[in-house]
Amino acid sequence: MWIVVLALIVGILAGLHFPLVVPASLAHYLSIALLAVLDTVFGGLRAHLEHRFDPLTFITGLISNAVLAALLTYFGDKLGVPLYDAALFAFGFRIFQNLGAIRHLLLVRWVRHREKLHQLPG
Amino acid sequence: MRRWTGWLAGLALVLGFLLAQQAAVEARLAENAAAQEGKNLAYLITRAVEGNHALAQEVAAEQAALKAASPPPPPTAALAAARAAAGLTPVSGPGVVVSMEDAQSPRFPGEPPDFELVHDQYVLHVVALLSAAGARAIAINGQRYVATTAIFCAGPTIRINGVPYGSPFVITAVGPPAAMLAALNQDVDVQGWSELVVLQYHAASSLTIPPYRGPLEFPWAKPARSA
Repeated sequence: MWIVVLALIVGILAGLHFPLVVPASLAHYLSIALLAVLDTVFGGLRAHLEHRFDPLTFITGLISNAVLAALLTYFGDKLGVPLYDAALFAFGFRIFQNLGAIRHLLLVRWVRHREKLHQLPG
Repeated sequence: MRRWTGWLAGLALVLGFLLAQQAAVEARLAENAAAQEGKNLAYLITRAVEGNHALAQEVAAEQAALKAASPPPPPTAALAAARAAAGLTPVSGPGVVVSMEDAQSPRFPGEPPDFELVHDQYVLHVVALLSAAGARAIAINGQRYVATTAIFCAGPTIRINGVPYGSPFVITAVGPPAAMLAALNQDVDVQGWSELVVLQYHAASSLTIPPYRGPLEFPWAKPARSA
């Protein structure tokens, strides 16, 4: 588990210190793809807390969500339909929903942990 | 679960990399936007400055046109010179005084009574003599001799500038006294008339000739436009 966090930190550091490789014209699509990735990440965290995390589902969902979000935004731009806004709303909404669920799950877990601690001496 | 950790780590690496890249690109874009905005503002300022410059030039041109269009101030010096030349100002200086008076009685037996009188041609002749001798200002009985002056007989009087005068006639002329006296002395007509009427003349060191005070209207003659 820790190697994943370490890889994330290493990736961020590399990205910060690396000269730009992403063309500015693609920043628009990369941003919505990253939003989709963040949505999948928070979804994965929630699934993990609910003990129903499936790595295959997570990895395929992450990649397909990112690619599809970028592609849909691209075609939306070509067609003059602001699908970027739709994706922004959908992913943003789900991210905050997942965050709320994660907070709730963590709270429930913490409360149960405390109850266990208090029950042990008894 | 264990066998997926490598995949997850790789994904996290790529994800972190892309996140940082995206942040850097956004920062660069914001910088570019600010630079573009600065460029736009600089362009607007340049345009405004250029516009101000053009408008200032326009104002200067309009002012110049206004100055050219408005009548120039009258040349007072030239006007004063013209007034003096036209005889509209009093002048003084050395000159000659010629007085002519009808004779009280015939000088010669059997003389026609007409010979006792001072005629208009006497006055005209004396004026012409003095003028030819260099007189710069002439007046007859205080009537300034100017370009429009008429000296013509009107019954027992002579009209000078439209004003009738009777004998005696006093002609005052400012000019070179010696030349004018010589001209009078050498003129046979003047010498002959002096035998018939009372004709006297003498030099004067200081004479004052009054200005022309008659009408200055020229209903017929219009100033011609000189090229």
